Amino acid sequence: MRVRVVMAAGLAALAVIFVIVLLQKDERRSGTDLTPNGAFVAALDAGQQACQTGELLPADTAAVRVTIGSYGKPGPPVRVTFTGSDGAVLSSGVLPVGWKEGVVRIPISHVSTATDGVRVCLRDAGARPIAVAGTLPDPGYRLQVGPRTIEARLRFDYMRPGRESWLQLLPAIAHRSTFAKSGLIRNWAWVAAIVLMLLAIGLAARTVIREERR
Amino acid sequence: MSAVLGDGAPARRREVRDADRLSRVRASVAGALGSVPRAAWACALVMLVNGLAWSLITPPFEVPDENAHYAYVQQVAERGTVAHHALPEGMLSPNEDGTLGAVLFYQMTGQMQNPAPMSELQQRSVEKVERERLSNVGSGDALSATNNPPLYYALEAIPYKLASGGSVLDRLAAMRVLSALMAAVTVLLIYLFLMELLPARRWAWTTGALVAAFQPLFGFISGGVNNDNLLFVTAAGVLWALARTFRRGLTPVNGALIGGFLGAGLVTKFTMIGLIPAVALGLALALRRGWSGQRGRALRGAAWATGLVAAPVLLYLALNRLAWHRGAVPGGVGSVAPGAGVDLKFSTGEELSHIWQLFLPPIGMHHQFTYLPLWKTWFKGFFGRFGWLDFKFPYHFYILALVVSVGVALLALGELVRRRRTFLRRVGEFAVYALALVGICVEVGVQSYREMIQTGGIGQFEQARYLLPLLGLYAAIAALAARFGGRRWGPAIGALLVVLAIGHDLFSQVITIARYYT
Repeated sequence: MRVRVVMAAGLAALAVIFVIVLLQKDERRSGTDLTPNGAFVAALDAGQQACQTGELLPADTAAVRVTIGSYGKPGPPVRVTFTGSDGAVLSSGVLPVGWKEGVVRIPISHVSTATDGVRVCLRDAGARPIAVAGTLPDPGYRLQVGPRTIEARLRFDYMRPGRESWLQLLPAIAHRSTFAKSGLIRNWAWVAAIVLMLLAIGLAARTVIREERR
Repeated sequence: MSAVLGDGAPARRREVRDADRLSRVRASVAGALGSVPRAAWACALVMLVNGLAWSLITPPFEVPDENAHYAYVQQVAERGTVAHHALPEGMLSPNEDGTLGAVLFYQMTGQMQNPAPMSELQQRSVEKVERERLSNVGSGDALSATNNPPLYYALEAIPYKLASGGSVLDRLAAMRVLSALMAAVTVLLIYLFLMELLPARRWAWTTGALVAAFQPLFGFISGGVNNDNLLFVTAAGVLWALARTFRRGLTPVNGALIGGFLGAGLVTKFTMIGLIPAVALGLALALRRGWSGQRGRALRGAAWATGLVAAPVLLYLALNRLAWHRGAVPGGVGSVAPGAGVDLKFSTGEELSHIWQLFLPPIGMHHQFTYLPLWKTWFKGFFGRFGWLDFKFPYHFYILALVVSVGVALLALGELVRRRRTFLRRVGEFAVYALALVGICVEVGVQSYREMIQTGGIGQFEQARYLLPLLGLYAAIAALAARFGGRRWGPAIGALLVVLAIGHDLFSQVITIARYYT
């Protein structure tokens, strides 16, 4: 009897903690350009911009997160623009003046479909200099900073609209878990993982309870 | 005609005798399997489904060195030979290399801020590589796995071949299933080990086996292609066979089990060398015990043990020399030369100091680590550091884990104190398990020091998974802790430990999902 109580109470407590975790809200990513965020690689003077190509602009994006330094002062306005290979602007946004240096979130117009081969430009639209983080050197990549071109890349994290709980994000996680997996499992892996874990827990609980009197 | 009949009669008798022998063996195997409690099978099944869940959650090649182990299996399956060093180093097959690129392996590994592919466009790149039908033949180099013995890879070649019509990812998925099966066998053997080690309390065996089955680092490794998975089977088998021997004497069967598991382990991964001193001590104690009453039986048992260890190892050494044209022990033993530009020199004194400091706080020694490996590498690693060691729990989790661990250890210690008379009677057996722990630690320490000399301290060899061959002892601590509660409270303590292990495993999977898919 004690074992049943401990098992039931313990699993219930786990379920409660699990639900609390699932309800935690935060900003969630829609993608990233996979560039290590190791150092400030581009220093931009007032009015200058840094541009790089080959960016994958993911679907369901409403903001972009970048690490920007402002030399200890309140940040100037920063504009970011995403352009397709045909030159059409896919999305853009502005970070208003007064931001604090570090990881900043620049809201952009909502992107509903993914596009690759995108050119992204980040412009210092104010009167003070800024520095943008990424990787330098990053062989094979070209970053245009003002008039110069260097082998570097800026780090961009693409963010979904608003703040979401893990529970709200679950459909997206399930969808993402179908990528880059064996064709034999990719469409049902996430369901199977849940079912298997429920099975493991159920079987373990049953075994512990059955063995109590032995 | 009569001559023919005359010749045929003994042959028929031999056939009948052989058939009798075969049916006796079948009956004894069936009897042995039938005597395994249903709870043991249930614990193994729990591990199987847990391992399969981990294999589905963890993205391809994100279990440590999975790319290298895959390359070794590919070499065995495609060319029928072992891996060997080739220049330029690291030339994998175009198919594996292309797949690694498409699944973003090179961007994800070690970069915890980079998730697995999140976009349909990235999936299209994977499918493009799959359609290209690139060659499965590489240079023969299997990166960090190259020097390993081949048993695990030979077994993994079976699912590789079964899925050979598919892509690299299909083969990897099939190979991961075999790893999960091996983990299930490990848990079965751990249950059997606990049966022999701690008789009379069945619920304690279940507690220990399930705590092992839900150990998340073990689950994570069991969901990937890594020769550690067979190492864990063989190490658990050695512990079981030793415990059987202490309980039932050194019979030929027990000797064969000890030798068979140790021999198989040695041709799986050299870490198994660490168990040799414990096995030697165990055999010596068992021989001494059987010397007066059942000397012949004990000697036959020891002969089986020695023979079954020696046979695969000698065969492996001979094949290395004669057929595979690589050193008898690839990678070598003993001192190593420092790598280019490395200022360190191999010193036996420093090596001993290194081994000590790798597991214990330094006492009057030149500090070789800028951190405390006992805490950072072993404790935190064992309780939760996943992927290519690139993500873990928040710091407070480890403090909580430390508190729980100290509590469990105190309960286990309390049980030993309470049963001190029995413990003192079995102190020799305890010394064998302690020596197993020391042996594995020394073996890992030796490898770690070699790595430090070769890379000037940049390369880090040691990982908490190297202690998982001793998972049976971890399970024994949990079982002992549960037994401390006695008949009245023991099962409830056991149930609590199992719930904690389930929670630990589940939240490890949660941080894994968060790491790769968000």
